[in-house]
Amino acid sequence: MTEEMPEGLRELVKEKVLFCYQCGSCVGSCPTARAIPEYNPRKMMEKLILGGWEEVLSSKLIWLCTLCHTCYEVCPQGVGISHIIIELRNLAAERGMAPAGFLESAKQMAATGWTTTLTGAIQRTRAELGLPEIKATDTEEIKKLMKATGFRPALEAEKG
Amino acid sequence: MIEMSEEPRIGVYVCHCGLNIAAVVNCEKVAGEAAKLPNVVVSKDYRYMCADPGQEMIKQDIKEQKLNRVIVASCSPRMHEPTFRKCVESAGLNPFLFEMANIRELCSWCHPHYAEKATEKALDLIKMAAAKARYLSPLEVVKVPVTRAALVIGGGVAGIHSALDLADMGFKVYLVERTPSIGGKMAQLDKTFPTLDCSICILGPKMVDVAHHPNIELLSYAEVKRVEGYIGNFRVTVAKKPRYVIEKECNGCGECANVCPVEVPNEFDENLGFRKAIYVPFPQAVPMKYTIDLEACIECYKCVEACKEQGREALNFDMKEQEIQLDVGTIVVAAGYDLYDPSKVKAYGYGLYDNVFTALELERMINASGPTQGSVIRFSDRKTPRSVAFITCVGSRDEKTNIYCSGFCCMYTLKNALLLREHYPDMEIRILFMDLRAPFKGYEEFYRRAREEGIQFLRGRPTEIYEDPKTSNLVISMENLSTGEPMDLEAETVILSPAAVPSAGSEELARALTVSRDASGFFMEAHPKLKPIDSATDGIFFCGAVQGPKDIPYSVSQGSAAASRAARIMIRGEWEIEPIVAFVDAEKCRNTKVKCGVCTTKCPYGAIAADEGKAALVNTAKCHGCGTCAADCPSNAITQRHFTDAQVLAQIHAALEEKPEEKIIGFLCNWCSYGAADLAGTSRFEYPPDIRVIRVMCSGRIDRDFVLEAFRKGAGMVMVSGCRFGDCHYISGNYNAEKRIKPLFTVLPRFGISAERLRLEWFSAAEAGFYVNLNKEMSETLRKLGIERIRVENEKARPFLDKMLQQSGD
Amino acid sequence: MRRIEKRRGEIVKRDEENRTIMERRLLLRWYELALDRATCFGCGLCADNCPREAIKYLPAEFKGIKAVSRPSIDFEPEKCVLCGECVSICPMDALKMRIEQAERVPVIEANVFAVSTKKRW
Repeated sequence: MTEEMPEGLRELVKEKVLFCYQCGSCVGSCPTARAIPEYNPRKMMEKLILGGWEEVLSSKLIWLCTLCHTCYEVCPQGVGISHIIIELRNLAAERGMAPAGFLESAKQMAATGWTTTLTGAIQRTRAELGLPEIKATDTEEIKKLMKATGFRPALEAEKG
Repeated sequence: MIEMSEEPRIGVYVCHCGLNIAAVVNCEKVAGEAAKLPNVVVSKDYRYMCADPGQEMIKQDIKEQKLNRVIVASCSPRMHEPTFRKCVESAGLNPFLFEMANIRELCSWCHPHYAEKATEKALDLIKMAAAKARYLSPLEVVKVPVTRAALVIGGGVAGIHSALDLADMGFKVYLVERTPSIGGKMAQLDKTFPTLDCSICILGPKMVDVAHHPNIELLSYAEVKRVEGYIGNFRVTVAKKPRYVIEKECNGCGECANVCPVEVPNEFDENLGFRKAIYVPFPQAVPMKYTIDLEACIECYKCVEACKEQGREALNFDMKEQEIQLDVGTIVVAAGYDLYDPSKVKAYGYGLYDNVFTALELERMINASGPTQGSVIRFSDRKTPRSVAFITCVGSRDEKTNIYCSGFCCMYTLKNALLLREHYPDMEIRILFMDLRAPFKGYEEFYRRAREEGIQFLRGRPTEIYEDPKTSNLVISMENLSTGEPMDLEAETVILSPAAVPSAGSEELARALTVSRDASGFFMEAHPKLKPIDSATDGIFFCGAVQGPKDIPYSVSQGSAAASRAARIMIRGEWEIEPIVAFVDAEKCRNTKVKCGVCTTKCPYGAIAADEGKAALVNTAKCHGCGTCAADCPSNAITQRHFTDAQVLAQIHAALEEKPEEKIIGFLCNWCSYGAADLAGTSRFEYPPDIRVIRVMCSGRIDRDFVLEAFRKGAGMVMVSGCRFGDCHYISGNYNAEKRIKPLFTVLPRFGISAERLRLEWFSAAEAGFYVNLNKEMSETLRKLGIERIRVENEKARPFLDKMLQQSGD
Repeated sequence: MRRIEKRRGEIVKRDEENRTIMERRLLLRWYELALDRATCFGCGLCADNCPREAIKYLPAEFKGIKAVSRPSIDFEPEKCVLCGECVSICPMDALKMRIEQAERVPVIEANVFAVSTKKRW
């Protein structure tokens, strides 16, 4: 371990992850683990307990979680793996380790309410096809939702 | 003996307890400061006060220094008060002139990082003890006769062994069993681990011994309803349910059952098979008497006819429930456990899918006298399954269901697997487990034997079971921890190992006995290490699974242990009771002038009487020493020996002598809140050292005046605490305390004291965490309010408080 | 998919097209009490004579003077002990009982006479 574990992650590990007794309920019920052999949330938790948090952070695997929260429901020790993954993603994004385009889409979402750009061309094509005009979205509400679901980086960028 | 007119000569002994206290508290300094206190003649510190040399030191000082009060500052009085009382008594000093200051559980152990403040606190606690000690009076123990009879509640293997041991020792034993026959869960098992002994074969003879023992009176189909009295003198009310069969006449021939037309599910067979409306639970039942389940009976009276044909008239449909009073000296609780209902774990499909069973259901199937005569079959097609999967930890080790490990399930799963292998050599048997616990004699070897028999072990915790609608087979999804890959496993039958939970009716039984239960609902022993059999209530003992899940050898051992603990009391003709009772100052009692009698309405034991025109009078034998009457007496005419008003007030004054605004005065009841505080220390939970604890026997003792005096003397905050409602050791003390203290939340702000400076909380002795958090919260509030604001509020309130407390005539 | 709890050992009531079935499944004993609603005309004799009062009599529903529905009966599974008294007394043979697929009526086998102990009027 080269660096100190960041405060937010340290709190989470102390309050939740330390209780993990490696039963594997999370993996047994995880849809991603079924599809991708390398994806194993139990092993991720073990690494966090034993100090390999940097490895977990830089891994592409934390971006594969579907956030279905089934692991949280079945975990007998209340670890809440999916919530840990949200924190890990936030930290990774803050260190520039998010997948390409992910953060861009997120920033776009916070700014306009859409993950894709609404160009003039699109509006014109819509008009031609007889589709209703797309009005502007209430980005305040979107930002509230993003904040409530623990999404940090895009919001910081927005503020800045 | 010591004369009260004598000046107190106090000896203070500060124990290091090795490093338990000395690592945090500067014992030398504390002893040095204590020496300067008024009336302190001797003040020493020593490594281990409870050890022989420590005790010798006290005895010597009593004689040479003519001490007439002794204070030991060490561990909890709940631990060693009896030890030191014996010590001072042997030196000729009345044992009630001894007081303890708890500077370990309530100080060094819970404030490891506050060395300086903990040392200050330790000195405060000694000051408080000294203040109380000055007012202590010599008291004589009350000797009560002991009834040489014991009550054993529960006829499982633990209760049976306890009853037999007691009866063999010559004591009369009443064995009360709720179901129609003794035997408990063990009677339902097929074989027992690790020997694979036939369960009923080893239990049956013991059951018969119980039936034939001249000293055992078996009351089956009966329940304990009420318990009154105290150690040596319990009066128990038992409700004997009507069998509608005259026990004396019935010889168990069974002709009645043969003709009965009604078939209903058989509870003994876990509802897998049937029994008649008139039935005997199993063929080896003791007593071998029939019982009629009136809810199933259609009153066709065919049984009456059949019985007459046998030349007997054993049926009586007019029977009513009987109330029986038993006088016993001790009570052994062996009420057993129940199995967790796995239908609560929806993902496993018990109750939904045909072929998911519990381990007990499997035992009944595989048992030769069970509903299938020993064949293990599937529910859906009645065929023997070719593959079986066992799932352990169902409802155990899970914060959503039960946090504890049930202890014996791994072993009975291995046993069931081996039994299946024995009956069905070609069956595919798999055990799915998180951890395998096989700790005791012969248990690991049993595990090895299972592996030898080709039983497959897969590490992993199943998350969901699906049923194939066509075959009724089950598909289990889990992660195989050995390979690290998720997998699906198909089995024709799944057997679940459910957790052991407290048996039905535990809440009512605990209340009737006034004993506490722990956080999981099992009956709580007095001390987990040193008193695993005793309850906190003298004279009541626990054995078997009622105290926590355990296997048969452990239950049997505890049964014998409980017999020994009970015999220890009954073998002497009399027992000593602490004289901590209420007493009335006849001159102050206003019942002589007007009709009062408030005290009589508060006493849960009917121990105080107020005849017209006369002063109230306490029946010392009936008084349990809660102090509620003392706190509620409107004329302040009643007080409680060893916890007098003067003693409590002295402790308040001593605690608040210096820097009162920074302190929390905590009134804790001996049984629950003080227990929790001790447990917090024993568990080494840390919290800020602001609190100064004053121990009373019951929250009912806490007078409004105590709280007001604390604020008058400048306390920062006050905590009043006791047992949770329904759990009070003295039944209603906490209700009365709530009624008495709650109005202060509205009254105090009128004088300028913020309501948040008073806390009224109820928690059990098992809730150390609650106590710790309460302290943290209160310290936080104290800091938030700040010394200045508190001082200002106190100044403002003082004139009102002065006036109020003068009026109460102290 | 609605999950119907099978509740091993307890009586489960099912309503089919024109039948109401009361079923109890033990491991080696399967009991079935079936009411043919087409045949039953709601005389109420079964409800009167059920020793456990497990049968409820449902009178006919009227709209003015026109009968909208026939009188009928319904079962309360928790109270039923499958004695077969109702089967034995039904004048229309609308109730049939089977134990392990064979038609059996326990009270008839035991030679018990239906005694009308429960009042209705």
